[in-house]
Amino acid sequence: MSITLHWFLPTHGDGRSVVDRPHTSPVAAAVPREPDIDYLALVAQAAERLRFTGMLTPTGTWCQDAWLTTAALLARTKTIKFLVAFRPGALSPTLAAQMAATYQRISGGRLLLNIVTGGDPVEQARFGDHLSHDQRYERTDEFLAALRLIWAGPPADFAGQHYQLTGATTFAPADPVPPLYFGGSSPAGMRVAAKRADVHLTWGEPPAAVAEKVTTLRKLAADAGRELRYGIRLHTISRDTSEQAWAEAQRMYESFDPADIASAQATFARQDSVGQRKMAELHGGDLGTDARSLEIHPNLWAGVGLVRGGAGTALVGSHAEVADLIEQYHDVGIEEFVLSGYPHLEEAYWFGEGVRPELARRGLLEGNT
Amino acid sequence: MTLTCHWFLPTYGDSRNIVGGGHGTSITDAGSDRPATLAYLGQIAQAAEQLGFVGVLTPTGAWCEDAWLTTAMLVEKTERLKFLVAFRPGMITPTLGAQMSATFQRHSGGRLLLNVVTGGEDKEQRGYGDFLSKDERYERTDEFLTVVRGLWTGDTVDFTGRHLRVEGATLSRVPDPLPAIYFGGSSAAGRAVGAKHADVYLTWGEPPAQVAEKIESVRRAAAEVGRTIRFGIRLHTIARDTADEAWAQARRFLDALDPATVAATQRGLRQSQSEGQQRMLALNRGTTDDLEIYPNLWAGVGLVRGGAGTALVGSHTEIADLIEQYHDVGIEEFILSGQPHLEEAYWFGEGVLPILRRRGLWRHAAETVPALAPELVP
Repeated sequence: MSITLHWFLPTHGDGRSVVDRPHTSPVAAAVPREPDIDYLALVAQAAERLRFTGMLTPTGTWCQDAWLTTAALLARTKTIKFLVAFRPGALSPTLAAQMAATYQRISGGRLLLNIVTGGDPVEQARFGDHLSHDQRYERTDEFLAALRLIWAGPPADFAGQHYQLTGATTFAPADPVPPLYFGGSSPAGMRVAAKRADVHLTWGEPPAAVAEKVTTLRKLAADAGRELRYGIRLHTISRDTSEQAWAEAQRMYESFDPADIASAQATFARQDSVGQRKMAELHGGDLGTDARSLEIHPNLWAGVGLVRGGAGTALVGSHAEVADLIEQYHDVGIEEFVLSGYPHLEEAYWFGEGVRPELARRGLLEGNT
Repeated sequence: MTLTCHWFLPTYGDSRNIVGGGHGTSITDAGSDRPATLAYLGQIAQAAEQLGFVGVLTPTGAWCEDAWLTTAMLVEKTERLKFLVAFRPGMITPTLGAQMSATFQRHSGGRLLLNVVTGGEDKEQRGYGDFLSKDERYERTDEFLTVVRGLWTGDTVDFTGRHLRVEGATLSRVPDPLPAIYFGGSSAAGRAVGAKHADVYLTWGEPPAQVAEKIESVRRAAAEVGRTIRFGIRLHTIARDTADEAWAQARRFLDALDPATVAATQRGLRQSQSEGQQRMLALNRGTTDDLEIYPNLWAGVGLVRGGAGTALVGSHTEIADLIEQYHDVGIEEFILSGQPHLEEAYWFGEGVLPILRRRGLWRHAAETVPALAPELVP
């Protein structure tokens, strides 16, 4: 079992601190680096050069459409894959199956899919979705069942609570069928993951909590006669020395505005995402005394989550320390790491030049490293 | 008078440490941290373009990749960025140099700038088959540029000089637009040729008073031949949000230097016949002490690197202030670099350039509407 490394495409913009803060406004606010296609290409090309396997591209009101942005980047890159996030509730499964098939044909098989069921009723309602948390997962379950049925080949009929499809088919088969990445930490979410996902993704809780989640999911998947892979979503601040990394975390910490933290935490509290709740519990909305007071496990920093929804923890430390913590996650079953850092161009180089060689020396990377 | 800012392409490799060498000394190991692949150089070129730099200086010498070919390959990866291609007149005939310029302008849509480098060290020149003395080399540069300028007018050129002789030389196509000629040379012979032929006279980063003196002398020499020229400076940069952070980075560079490498490089560079090089060396005295030779001007780079050996170091505001001082003594073009060239371009581009813009001294290159040559208008 080896490690696969992914990077992140900041389609909401970039900067030297946390800039993706949709709680301030659902639409893109002014950011130090606008997410124009030339800048995003620079980040994608850097990730490709540094041999990341894929790039997670987020979905939501606060960022640009992931299907179209990554399609535009295909011609500017050669090998890197795009882990396109999308919400099943926002389009028909037949259309999604067809879009994936088209993507695979024009890209030569560079699509990975990240299924986002949704965790904020206010945001869901913007897209016309008014289901409850558990109903949303029920719909995702049907959506993924239909997707797999359509990809299987012949025109398919499907009858569920949420979808009725007759003769659903695509212009050409999805070749290869893109792997389905899936996030969901609630019981409902984990049940659907066990049945339908290829890779279950968790945000970066400490290793023990992640171990528990992996054990639960393994059992659920075994009950369904399946095996999943496991991935984690983390930020990273790695430097030549531990001091330099924590100085950078401190710099970022000092850029946070207490009023902004309060508003972010209030927004997170209204959401029905179990994963988001677990992220918020890591710091409890408490600003602490300095960056390091938010080190909730050696070299795991909860500071990002003070102002950012979703993934709220960062690997912080020397390249060797960050590699150590990655190894700890690997030991509890994590095989895929979906990483990001501010700014995404420069931080990709810190990780790619600092931590990646360390992981390679330890024989942890897939392929020939 | 607004400022023009250029960035630099490290065609010998890049690193988080100072990549030394050049000017007769070999390149230090740091250059293998990030090899000068087209993919990586493309990243730097694209970053420079997005940040609003006008061009990128691309060096010449035995210690780096060929500048003409590397930049020609990068034209496709960029849209607007110009390439300040360094080359040595002694190594190609003037007719070929004039023709290559025309080809580059045609295929790049006019994105060539030329940096005429009269010489490196004797040892390196001899490796290329050039055995002239330094003053003879400047004499040859004078002849070379006379022929090139003649060809660029569209004339057929017959020329007989001491070093160069062409008969019936002509171009099937004149470069359009004519590339600006950048030129460096601090000796008396260098200043005289610069005054006669250069569009932009370049100096390495001496303190403002010395730069002022140099500009004065070249301006006077140019006036005597009825010309006015612009002036540019070549500097490294370490700009951060605070002065403390910038100086911590400078200190990190110093701490990473091997004293043996410093000693060997200094021995090598002190053999140099280049007056510019000797003026650079005089700034650092070969030790790691007292390297801030003028407020926010740091001579540490020159300990292990030939050529441009000083850096602007400080907060974004302090660096903008020092740039303004250079501007006040007549510098209009800044050719900047920093290690690593990708990340440092962003520090300067996001930190210092907005301050210069607020002061009305600079505009993003994409904001400037390019003037179309009349014959290009359909």
